[in-house]
Amino acid sequence: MSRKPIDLFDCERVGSYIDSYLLGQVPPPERRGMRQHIHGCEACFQKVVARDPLQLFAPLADQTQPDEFWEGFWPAIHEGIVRQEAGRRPRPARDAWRLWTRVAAVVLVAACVTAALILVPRLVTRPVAGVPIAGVPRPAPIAEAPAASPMPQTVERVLTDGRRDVQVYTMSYTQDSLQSTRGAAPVAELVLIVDKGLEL
Amino acid sequence: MVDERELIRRSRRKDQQAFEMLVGLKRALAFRIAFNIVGDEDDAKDVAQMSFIRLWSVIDSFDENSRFDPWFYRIVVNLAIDFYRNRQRGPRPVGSPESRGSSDSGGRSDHDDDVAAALPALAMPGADAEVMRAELRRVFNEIAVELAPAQRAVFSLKEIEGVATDDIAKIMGIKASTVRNHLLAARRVLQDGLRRRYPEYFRGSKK
Repeated sequence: MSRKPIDLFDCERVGSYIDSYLLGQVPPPERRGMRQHIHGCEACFQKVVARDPLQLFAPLADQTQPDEFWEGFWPAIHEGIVRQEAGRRPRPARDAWRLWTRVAAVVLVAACVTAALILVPRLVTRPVAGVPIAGVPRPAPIAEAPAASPMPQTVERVLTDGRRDVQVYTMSYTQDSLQSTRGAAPVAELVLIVDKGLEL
Repeated sequence: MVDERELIRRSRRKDQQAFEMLVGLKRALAFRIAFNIVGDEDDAKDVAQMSFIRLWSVIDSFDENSRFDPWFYRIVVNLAIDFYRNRQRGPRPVGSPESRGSSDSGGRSDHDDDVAAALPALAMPGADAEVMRAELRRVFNEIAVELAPAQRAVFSLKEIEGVATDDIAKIMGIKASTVRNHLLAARRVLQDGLRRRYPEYFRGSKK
């Protein structure tokens, strides 16, 4: 058999503590008891609201939602957790792809540089050595172009500042080299500088 | 009876079953706090769900010797305030001045008049509790739209949830004096709004 709970906070007692209640000076357990009484007692509720109209909103704390409201609540959280965890997991396949992309890029660059180092010296026609690195002179004009040669004139110079050498290959493209026409002035120059001390 | 501490302990070890039970225990609280701040039921539900997803990712950093609720409040309140700030026009509860458009005279509509007339009865405990709370919620959302997010959060925690000032300071990461300032400002705004819209509640009250 159920009994009605004893109301420790009767109207008289609540009435004498209303000011303390409104000032937030009632300790939490008593406050809960007072609040229950106030929200259930018309006379006390009106007294409280008359003193502090904003107490009108206090019953919002007792708001509950029907069971139907919570349908789908946990599944949405679970889905969010799964998505969050998936986002945090490392992606080995993708990481490996990125690594191989970098390796391939390095190999490609190295191959290009090697090819340039092998092929360019073969094109050298007149090496010039020992020109100081400060005051780099413009490449000397090509005095004699080989007759009917389609190849550009290449001049190699080694520039040094005493500590390291830099090879400078200057390829001058003339109308000769482009169209096999003799006696024309250079129309373009390609300068390739190879720093032997460069670490790739 | 499920032991909350045990659920927290198991959740820290990433036990999803325990976490689901913990969600069941705390969902009403999380929703209510979020609802008081964001002012919209669907948004509040979203914020509550986001809070639990966030909780799952950080629960292993919870100190079991401290109180769980204020620690969890902090997650909910911060997410709710962020949500409220990010929403460009703020909460637009049904019946708010914004949602009603500009045709209302003096910010009040016929519906307002009906509610104002009905409120004294609705606010009485004898009235249907759920109907009463729904109407109070509507009125609160209507006048609280003028509050800054932090003021709204402080008022909700202090005056609705009954959280102590020091705890609110910890939850929101601000000084207790700032909490009091927010509370005073919020009360002033809400009292002005309530007095303007529902003067019947100020009969005989101290101004």
